[in-house]
Amino acid sequence: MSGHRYIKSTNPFEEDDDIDDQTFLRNSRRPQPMQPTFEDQMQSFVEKKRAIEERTISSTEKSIGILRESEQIGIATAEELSRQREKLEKTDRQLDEINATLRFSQKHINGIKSVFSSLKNYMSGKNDASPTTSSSTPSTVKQSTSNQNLEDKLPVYDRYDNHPSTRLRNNDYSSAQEVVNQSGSKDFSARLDANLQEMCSNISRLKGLASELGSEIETQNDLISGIIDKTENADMTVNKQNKDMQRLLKKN
Amino acid sequence: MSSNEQKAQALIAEAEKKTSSRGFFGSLFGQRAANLFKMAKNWPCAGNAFCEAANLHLRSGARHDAATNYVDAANCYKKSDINEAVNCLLKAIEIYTDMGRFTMAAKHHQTIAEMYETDTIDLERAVQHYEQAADYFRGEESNSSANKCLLKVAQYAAQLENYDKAIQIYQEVASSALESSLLKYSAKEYLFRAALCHLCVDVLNAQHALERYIQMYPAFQDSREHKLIKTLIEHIEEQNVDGFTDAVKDYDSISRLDEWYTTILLRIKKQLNESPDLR
Repeated sequence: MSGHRYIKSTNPFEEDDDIDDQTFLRNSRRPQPMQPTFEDQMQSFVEKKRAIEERTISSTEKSIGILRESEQIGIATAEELSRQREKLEKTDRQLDEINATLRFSQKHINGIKSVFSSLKNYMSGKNDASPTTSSSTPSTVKQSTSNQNLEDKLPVYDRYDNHPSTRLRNNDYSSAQEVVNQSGSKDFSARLDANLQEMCSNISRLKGLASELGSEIETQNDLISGIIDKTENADMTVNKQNKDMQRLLKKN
Repeated sequence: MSSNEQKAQALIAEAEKKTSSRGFFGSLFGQRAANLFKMAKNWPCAGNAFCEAANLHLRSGARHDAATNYVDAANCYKKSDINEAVNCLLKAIEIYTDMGRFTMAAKHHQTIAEMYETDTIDLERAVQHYEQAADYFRGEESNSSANKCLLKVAQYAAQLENYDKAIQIYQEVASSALESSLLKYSAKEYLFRAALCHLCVDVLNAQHALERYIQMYPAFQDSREHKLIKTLIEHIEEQNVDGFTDAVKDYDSISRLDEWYTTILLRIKKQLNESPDLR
């Protein structure tokens, strides 16, 4: 009932039409011709309080809804990323096969070019290594460290989360004159607590999801740069072999 | 008109192609004609031309090029005649499976299934093609792509009231998702869908299944989805239709339930209304 706000409007989703109690009372008092009784004042205060509580609860619910939507988007992104990873790994393997095949064909071309190089082929043929498949580097080390950070940050977040509701509880208990509204505000703070708890768990899940997505993208970036190198090699080798073949065909 | 000119050019090219007996060049002309038809937006003729080119490639033994031409033909037919498009894609798939390129075959099965899903609503054939695509993907160890197709199969199977298949697929995908640190966040949605399908069949089974899911994935217990299922089970046991509707509305106000969910929930509610009190 004093001039301070019940709830600090740090919630960006809360509607911005909260006005100070005093100004509201001052404006509402003017059109009333008679002196407002104490009960009338109490009534308006109680109604105003209830309206604020309703708005708070509904905005927390809106926040929860938005958090869940974000999580769904994150999940869809994660699935798309895993599909992309499969395709990248497959491309990587196929490029390895291409490069190995190109080495074989290079040997054949060398054999055709001259007797000396075919001798060289025979020597190196003994040390011929079969095409090895690329091993995907597991990023488990990185993921465990990101999980550690998450677990360290969680307790800190809990302590912060308790603050707004304890501030509320303190406010309610300080205005102990309204015995009749005691149970109503307890119910409200219980609901608010539950909602804030849910928001907290949603946000920590989102954080986990986001850091997973980040590390996945980083490993895929490494994959992609590997693929680029192999493609360039293959490209150069194919061009070179084409030129060699042209020369050989022209000679004949 | 420029398009008429192009058509004329295309027809001349076609005639040239028909007179030349050398398969490779014939198909080149056929392709040129097809591209010109595409520019003129004459989709049926473009499709025909691509098919002709594909046939010529087949005769000259260039199977890969033939398959690509069939795919191009299907793209052109997609805009006019879906069935022709599907036929061309099926021919392309035949060639790819012959060559052992199962990934490409799987992708085209997926395309066909998407066409049946959206353009002509033929859910059964869509399910068939998605299943085939999933099998081929799994054969090629592309598990994520396989799972994507399987999820569609499950979605439409549930819509076609084939709940057992849907439940099995959702459970399978959820358990494999739980093994990956990236995908484990999606597990709870799949378990939720599986639980809803269980509810369509039998409430007791659903309860047992729910307990199994909690063992599989303990965090599922704290989720909003689990709370909703528990409330729905309670209301079903008490035959309380209003409570059921209220719980669903409550959940919907926080996260929107899309068409699939509302269809399944409506079916459960209908069962609730119809079934007499057996207790």
